[in-house]
Amino acid sequence: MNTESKNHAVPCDGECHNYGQLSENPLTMTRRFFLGKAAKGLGGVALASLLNDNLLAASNTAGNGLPGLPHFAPKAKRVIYLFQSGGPSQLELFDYKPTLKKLHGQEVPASIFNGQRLTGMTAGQSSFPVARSVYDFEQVGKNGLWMNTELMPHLAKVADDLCIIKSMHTEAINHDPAITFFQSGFQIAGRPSIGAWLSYGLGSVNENLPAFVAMTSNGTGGGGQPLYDRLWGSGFLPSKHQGVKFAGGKEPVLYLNNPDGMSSEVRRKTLDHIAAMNQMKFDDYGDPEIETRIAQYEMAFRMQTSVPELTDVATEPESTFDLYGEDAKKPGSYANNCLLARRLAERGVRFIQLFHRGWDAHNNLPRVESRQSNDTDQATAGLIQDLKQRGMLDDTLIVWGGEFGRTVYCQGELSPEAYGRDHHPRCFSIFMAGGGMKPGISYGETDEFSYNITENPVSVHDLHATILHQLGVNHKKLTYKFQGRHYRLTDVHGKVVKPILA
Amino acid sequence: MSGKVDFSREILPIISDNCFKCHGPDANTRETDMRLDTREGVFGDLGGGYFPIVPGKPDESEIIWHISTDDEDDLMPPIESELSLSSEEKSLFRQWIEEGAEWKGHWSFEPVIRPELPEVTYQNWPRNGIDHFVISKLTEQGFSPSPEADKTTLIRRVTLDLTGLPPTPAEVDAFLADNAPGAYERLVDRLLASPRYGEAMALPWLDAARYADTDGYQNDGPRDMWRWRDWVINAYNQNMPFDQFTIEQLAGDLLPDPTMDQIIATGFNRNHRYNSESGLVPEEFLLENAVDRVDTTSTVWMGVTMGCARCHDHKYDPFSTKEYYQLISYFNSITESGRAVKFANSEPWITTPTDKQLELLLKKDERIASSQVSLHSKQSEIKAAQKEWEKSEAKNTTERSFLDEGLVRYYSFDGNDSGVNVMQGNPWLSSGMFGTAATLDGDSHFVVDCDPILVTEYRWSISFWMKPDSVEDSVIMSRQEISTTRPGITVELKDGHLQFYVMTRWIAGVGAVETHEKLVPGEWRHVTLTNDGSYRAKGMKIFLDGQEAQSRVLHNTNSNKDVSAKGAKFRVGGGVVGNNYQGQVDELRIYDRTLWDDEIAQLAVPARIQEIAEAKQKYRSTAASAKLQAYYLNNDASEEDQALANSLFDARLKRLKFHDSLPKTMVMEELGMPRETHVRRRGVYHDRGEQVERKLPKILSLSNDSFSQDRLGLARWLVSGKHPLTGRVTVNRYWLKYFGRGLVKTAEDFGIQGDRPSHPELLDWLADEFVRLRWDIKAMQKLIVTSATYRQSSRISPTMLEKDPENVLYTHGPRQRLSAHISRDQALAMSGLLVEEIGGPSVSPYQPDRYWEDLSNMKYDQSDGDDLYRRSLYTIWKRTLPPPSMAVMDAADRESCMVSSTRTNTPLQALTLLNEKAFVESARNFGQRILLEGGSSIRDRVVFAFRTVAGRSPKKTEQSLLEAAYRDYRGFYAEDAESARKLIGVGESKLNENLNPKELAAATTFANMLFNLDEVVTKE
Repeated sequence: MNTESKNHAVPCDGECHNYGQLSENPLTMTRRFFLGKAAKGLGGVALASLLNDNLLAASNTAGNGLPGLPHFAPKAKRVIYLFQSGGPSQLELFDYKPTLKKLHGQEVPASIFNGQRLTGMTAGQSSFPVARSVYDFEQVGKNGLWMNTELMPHLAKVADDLCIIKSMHTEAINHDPAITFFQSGFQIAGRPSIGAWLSYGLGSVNENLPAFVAMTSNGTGGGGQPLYDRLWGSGFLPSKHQGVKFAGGKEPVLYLNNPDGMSSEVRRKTLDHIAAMNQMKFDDYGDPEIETRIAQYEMAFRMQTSVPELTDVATEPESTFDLYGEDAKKPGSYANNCLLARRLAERGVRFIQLFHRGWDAHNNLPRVESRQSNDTDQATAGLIQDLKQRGMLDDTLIVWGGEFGRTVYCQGELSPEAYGRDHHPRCFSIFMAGGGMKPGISYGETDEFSYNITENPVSVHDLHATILHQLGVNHKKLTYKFQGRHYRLTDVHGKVVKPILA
Repeated sequence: MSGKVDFSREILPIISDNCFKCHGPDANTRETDMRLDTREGVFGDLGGGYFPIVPGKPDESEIIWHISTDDEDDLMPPIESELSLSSEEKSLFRQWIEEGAEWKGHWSFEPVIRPELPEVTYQNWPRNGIDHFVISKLTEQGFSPSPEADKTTLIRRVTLDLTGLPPTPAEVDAFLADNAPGAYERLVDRLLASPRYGEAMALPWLDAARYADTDGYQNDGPRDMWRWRDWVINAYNQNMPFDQFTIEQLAGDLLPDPTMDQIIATGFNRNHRYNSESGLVPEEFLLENAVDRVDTTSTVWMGVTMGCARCHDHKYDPFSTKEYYQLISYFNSITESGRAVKFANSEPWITTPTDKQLELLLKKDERIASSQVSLHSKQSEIKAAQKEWEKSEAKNTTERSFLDEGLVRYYSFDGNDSGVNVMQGNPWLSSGMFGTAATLDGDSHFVVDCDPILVTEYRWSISFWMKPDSVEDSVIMSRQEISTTRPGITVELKDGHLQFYVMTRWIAGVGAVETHEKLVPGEWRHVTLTNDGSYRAKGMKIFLDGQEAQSRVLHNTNSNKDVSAKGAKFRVGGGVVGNNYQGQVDELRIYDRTLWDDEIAQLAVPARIQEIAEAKQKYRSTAASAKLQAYYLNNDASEEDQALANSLFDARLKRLKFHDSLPKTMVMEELGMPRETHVRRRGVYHDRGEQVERKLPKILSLSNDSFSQDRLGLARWLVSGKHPLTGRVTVNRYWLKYFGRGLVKTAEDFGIQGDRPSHPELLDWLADEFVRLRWDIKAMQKLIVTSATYRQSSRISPTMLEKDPENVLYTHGPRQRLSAHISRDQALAMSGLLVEEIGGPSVSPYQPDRYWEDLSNMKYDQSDGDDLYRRSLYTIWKRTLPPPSMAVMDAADRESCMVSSTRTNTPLQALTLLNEKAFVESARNFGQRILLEGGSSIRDRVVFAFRTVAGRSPKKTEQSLLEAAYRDYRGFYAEDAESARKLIGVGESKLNENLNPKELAAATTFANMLFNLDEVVTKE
């Protein structure tokens, strides 16, 4: 490995050797730089910024975002979005409704339904009995926030850092449209995901890593709602903005590893030969695309070293695992992904999104929620604490939440211990932390059935507008022209939720 | 300022971008009466002598004042719109008005008028009409054309373009050797005649048609649409004219006496995503389906973004919301339920045997016929023997042994059944149809043992006698779980009608049918219920007294497999909800197959075998005689005669099973009565506005022609030859296929907000030529690839790059990275692994471990053998998780219609080409070819290998570099036998054990390197 290069970052000369770069401005490529290195063996060059754990400046030093962005000084430099797929129950986690104990088993009053549509699963139900939560809540933190401390003992300890929104609502009542809506601002497939928008608008901080990384994990209860490529897709934006899927384990990025029997040394040789042949081709044909290709092959080689280093958590001290839990050692677990999220954040990845499956509790809800909480509680809290200790929480925006909430009425069999809840779009809870959000608060209120919002509703578009705002982006101004229309993440809606900003 | 301002190129885009939101086609957001999208609006009196625009007089034009004023209240566009005009735009505006404010409609909505070929200075250069237009523009900008590409480059370019595969060295040699005039045209003809041509043409069409092998929502379950894909490939190979290609895909089902192929073609508009999620509201997805059809059809044939008018009048193009729903009404009257079947095709679908399968099916029909003949020819012999038997042995018969093929449960309720238990109340046995019968008092029921077969996805039948004491609403029998979703089956009386339910989940998964007839108390009726495992209510039938009863469908949403209800109790006399039955049930039979009509008629004979045998022949009904003979032949006839009867039964069953296994394809099928269509306010499914009728958009309606008000009329309108968009949009996509960019860059949007054509006359000439050539698709491909424009070298000079970086002028030939599909196919072809079999079901080549399993609820069942090496066109496309190696190479995701492709250049692509299993295995097999076919010296091997991958011989410098590389790899593996063995172990194809592993590893590495050269992954 070329140690000289340690303090010698790749010269910043425009767009061309950034991650996933389209060859839009190929003329700015530093061909000679790469070829000069190729001749000497490029192996360790430009690992600097990856191996170096220092935080990188969050400005667009790489110059690959849109001109004029950020629109104003950002509060957050990056986002870690912990998506809880399937729809966690607000009634069991954050939205405390003690009066339901008395109403358990009674019909939900018609005045509460108010003629709203139910899903096709429960629309035919002949009875809609109230199911109270089996859990007791406690007041935690300086401001006495109500939380389920039995399911979330660790998160309860960081309550003073949380900004809980109890008045989220969405338009979709089924998983696919609902999660697609949360990810792209539209229920039908085809629009860019939020991370892709940010990659497009703000570009990448670390020129050796994508601006947008996605990671997935499965609940220990198994199954869960499927996830789709489009959730981290780029829609109509150029495909370089799509989220790159990372995973712990042997091959953190697809096709990263050389074939069995091909050493890094042999690979290096083949790349040198490819580069030399391509250079001759360029000299003959003059197509700037060839230069870009030479650069991208070098980038690929660098990723082969840097990415496994990034995803290998073996070098973390034991104290890390005290924070995140032992699970964090297991590749593919939610806890491991949380730890990787911190390592990616350290290296300047702009938008890191985790998806944890398994929250869809139509039956036996208490069992589902306790398994899911067990999977996620400690690691989520650990991540918040870890970032705080490292001084990164202030400029890292954390978002935790699912695609909808769950109904107060029971689906399936109602017994003292067992009950299920159907999808509920009209109100549910999420939380945010760090990144310029007010810490230790709860925002918005719901009625005594947690069925309708009574105060301060927050729509999905509002959430998107707020996330963008924290990153210094005016959601109305981040647009892309497609099929003759200027599209934006928030469509024609959305307002920044100012009261929850610090 | 130089030259006259061009309205459509320079002014209309400014107005459209900045003014149309409030002063455009959308009536709802028009802020004032001022309208700037029509001639009347622009030049009309605003009242009080104010005019938006006064030709020749900018200072009297209101618009000029509004765009120039300093008054923030009057400034247009308003400050809060965050739009503004540049000073250049303002002066253009002023100049245009000074010059007389010429106003035209949007170019693409105007008729195509064939332009004259321009005079050119390079008179020898043009090879066909295309070149006249290109060169005239080229020289106008001070360029001269590039020289023609050399022959090896040209054959590789055109072979990749027309077949999606590279030429073999032998094909290159043959072309090089052909020095006679017309060699290139002959080459093109050969390629157009190749079956690979149809596959190559099909690929962009599949992207446009959002073809996939799964439904695309939530569980993203499988569907079968490959017969439609085969149809497309065949249509291209047979050079079906584009008008027919259009009519059959949009409306083949509405043609007179359509063939199976014409109906298969309509799968085009069933390829869209379709939601099966239990919680959905079918009404919503009936709308979404129609929306996708309208949007896709509009994009593909007209290049207009009709979808914008779903929620409000189009902001830019002259399409109102009403017109949008008028188009919806052409596409929403399909016999579909609004909820997709989770793991199979959704209605409407048809069984679509291939030619081969059809032959086999006919053979099976013949076998049935010949078995019938054999049986029939022995009829008198059999009858004679049967007569003897009737006298002696018929008295020993039992009903249990009658029709017992597939009879899994039989309850006679004669007091000797096993597996019958009292569950509730005091049901008893009393004199019934045969012997005693189960007798239920409305407060009781039996539970009988039952096998787990009564579920949606299987074939089965239930038959019984019943005599109701009351026909009040009640449950006669059921096998259903106790839960809110109540999966299972029930047979009920409702208002006297007999109802039959098969459910997976109430109410999201229910098939239910009901007899027209009302039963009356006190009468014995024979009931048979059959289910054909097709998830359709129309696959559920009720027979009364041996005849299929007239019935109607109550629910048709049974879309799921039934996994939960298999263990529920079978109740006779009641169910888990509702009242119990009052009356009798007798002779309950449960079959694991659907009974045939003749068998059902026999079951309904109100006499036992022995009773029939005892009756004189002349008193026996036909059905009774049939029942008696069926019994005899099945149980007591001579071995030979029993074998005859068995073989007939076998032949029928085999035919049925074969028929069940035949491919099915979703198609368009019109409802008897069109659905009422309403404008949906804000595009929301349940917010109904004005009712609308089928009608074509006003701006595009062609005068003097009347088209039928159905999809067929719509299709004929599109390909009438007079539609301003169809030809332009289609030739633009062909152009895009060869040059990487359309003459209109926004291939999906020819509307006002889309890009203007780079060569408007060329586009119109091609569009006109297409119609003149009677929509001959191959002729259009040939026209393009034989043009001098296409045949130019793709070398790029610094001047070109500086002045025309996007090659808009065609200063040089096309040079573009190969698509995802072609990249893999090329590697397979060069390695010798490619299996060139045309058509058939999708295959499942290598994919990263657990790629589906980790994210979805489906298992990836990797193919083996030949199916690992089929063309990528046949690779299974799971819409929510497309093959990752293709997704990374910019393959369209198939979630919705995609007509233009991007080609990015990223490190993830490099990693894929370097390391993905199929590419490495191809390298290994190509390495093997290098050793076996490339001669023995490194020098020869390098030449062989390079010629195969690049089509040309290496230059001297390349040769020495490549030889050095080869030696390097040899050196590495000479000392590392273990690594060599590992590398040549990649992939499932057989290893040639005769080859030295170290040599093969070196050659594999060499091949892997070659596969990644820019020239190899690029069409040059």
